[in-house]
Amino acid sequence: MTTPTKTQNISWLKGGNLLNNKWIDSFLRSRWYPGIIQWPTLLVFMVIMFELILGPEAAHDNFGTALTWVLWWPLIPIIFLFLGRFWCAICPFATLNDLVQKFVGNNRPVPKFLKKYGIWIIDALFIFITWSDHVFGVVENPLGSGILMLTLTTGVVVSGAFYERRTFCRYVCFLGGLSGNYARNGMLSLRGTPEICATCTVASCYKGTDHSMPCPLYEFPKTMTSSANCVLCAECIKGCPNDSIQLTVRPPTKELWFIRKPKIEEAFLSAVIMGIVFVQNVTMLEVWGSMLKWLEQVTGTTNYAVTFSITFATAIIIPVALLGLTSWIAGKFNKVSLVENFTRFGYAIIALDMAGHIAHNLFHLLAEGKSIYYTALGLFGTEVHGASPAILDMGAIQFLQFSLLALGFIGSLFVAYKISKSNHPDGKVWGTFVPYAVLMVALTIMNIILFTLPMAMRM
Amino acid sequence: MTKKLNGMITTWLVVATLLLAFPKTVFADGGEGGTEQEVNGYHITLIFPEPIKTGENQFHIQITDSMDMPVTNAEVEVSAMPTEGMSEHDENEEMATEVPSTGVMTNSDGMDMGSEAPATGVMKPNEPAADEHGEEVSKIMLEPTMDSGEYAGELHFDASGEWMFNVHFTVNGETTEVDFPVEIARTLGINYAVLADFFGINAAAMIAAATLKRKLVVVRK
Repeated sequence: MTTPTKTQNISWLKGGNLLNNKWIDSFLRSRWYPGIIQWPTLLVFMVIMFELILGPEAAHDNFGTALTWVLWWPLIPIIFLFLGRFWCAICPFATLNDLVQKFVGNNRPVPKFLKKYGIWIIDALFIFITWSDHVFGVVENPLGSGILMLTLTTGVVVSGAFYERRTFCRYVCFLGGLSGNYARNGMLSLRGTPEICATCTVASCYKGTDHSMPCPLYEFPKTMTSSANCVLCAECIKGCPNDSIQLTVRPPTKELWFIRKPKIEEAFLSAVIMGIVFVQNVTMLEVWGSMLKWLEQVTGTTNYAVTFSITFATAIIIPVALLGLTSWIAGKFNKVSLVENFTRFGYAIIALDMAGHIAHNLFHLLAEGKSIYYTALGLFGTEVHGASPAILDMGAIQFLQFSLLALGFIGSLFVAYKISKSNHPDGKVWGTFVPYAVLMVALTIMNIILFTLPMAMRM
Repeated sequence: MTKKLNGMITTWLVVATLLLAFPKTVFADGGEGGTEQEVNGYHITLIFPEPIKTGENQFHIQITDSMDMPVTNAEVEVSAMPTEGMSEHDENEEMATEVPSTGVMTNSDGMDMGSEAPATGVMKPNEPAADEHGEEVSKIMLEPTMDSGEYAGELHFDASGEWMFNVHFTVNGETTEVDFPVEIARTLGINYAVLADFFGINAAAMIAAATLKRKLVVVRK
């Protein structure tokens, strides 16, 4: 992917620099940004924590559960699509990290094992947390959700206390891994201007200045080619003495068209996310009860941890295995190893991942959205009984879900084509692309089947 | 700027402390000496020796006949169902399928329906029966205690709020059923314990970091 050149006087719709707009520029350079959003978010987070741990124990009465799992969790992938990892700039955990660091931070360098295995750790944590949610009932149990948040809080406190910058966010946070993948798909891109950065010797964007922090996620806009670890905190914009930073709007998936250094752990994560979308849908279907009974008969145990683990592992293995099989078939045509194909084309699934993820959570947001209002009323002693929590009817929600899946499918298909084209300009484009196109069709059909069936609610 | 930031942080910490120090309590009534009902000439008394709370609760039931004589030959079964949130649940069902009955799921009242049934007893549980909402309710068969006409057992309440405690007994082939509404108090002990544990771990981490930071500063000087 090419780094943008200086785009003065070009419309933002055509990839022009959003910082040319004086309102956006002055807002991002303001000393109030991102604090003006960060601190209220922390306040809301504290209310959520209070509610989750000491509020009503029934999920459908708990304002913390409603805000977390009916509002925030469904909105978060949508934010990643439009604003990249902006959420991470205002995330209360990041604020806590900075706060602890300010007072007691030792600012030690990131441990080497985190640098080496960080994304694998994120992959494992993401899988473990999703598994725990089902086995221990995290989402359905406010205290369980509270414990999850407290565990993350402990992680950031330890990280902020001992390590420099936002080590936790970059190398450990499971949501950071997810958002990193999704941010590649996102529509906002922050980069340095190559011709300006080429002559720069101060690197204040990376190191910070007297009036700006160093990049919290260890990114260097001068050489940055991915939005995966840019949280749009604007510290580099404030700190750059050469006014080199550009903020541009780009078509979704554009970054995925050519990944300069693809990593197998990131490709693996994208396949895992697809598996997790499957398992989240499957466990909310009518057929799930019959599946469990069948599994109980086969395994001879009624232990839910065992039966769910088998389902969970199967759901995750399916997309990973399908990607592996497709990569092996594509390898017959493009003469590239399975691992290399897997690593390159794993990124193509991200668009469909994101669509499936948003579509799944759209159900919770739109079919249960009013529960946020009802549970908020509960804080003031007003109970609402018998009212529907739905914002839209199921027909409208399903229309939106299928529309999203269609967009995700087109996005993934196009990315697969672009990756084929950029890596195989030697006439092997179609031989490489067709197996992946079949894979995208298969994954989309699986999603459509799952979304056709009715789902249960969170609240 | 730094002073302002410090002031802001102090305010936040004070607010946080106040929020955590004065949580709203959700304790409800419970632990009455006994609740009595007259049905079919029988006098039934339900006694919870301790205030009723979420989790395991011991109880006993005294049954006397119309002559105030203890009934010693009754076969007594009990079950309990939460009564709150039924209307919301019914509403939700119009939009979605029922949560499967197996697996760690919660019902509309946030009750853990996982590895254990809603009610467990020290006595042998009978086969689950279905209530009017089609949900399975485990019945517990009680056995007589040393006291004449008294039957004891232990019941698990998964959530606080209003529950219907159903006593079903058979004497000489004649079956009598009676419902006792009970209010389950919420115990926040585990929640405070969780908070205290995490607070302790985080405080320890910060104290350790502060100590190490001081040492680092001394070494650098």
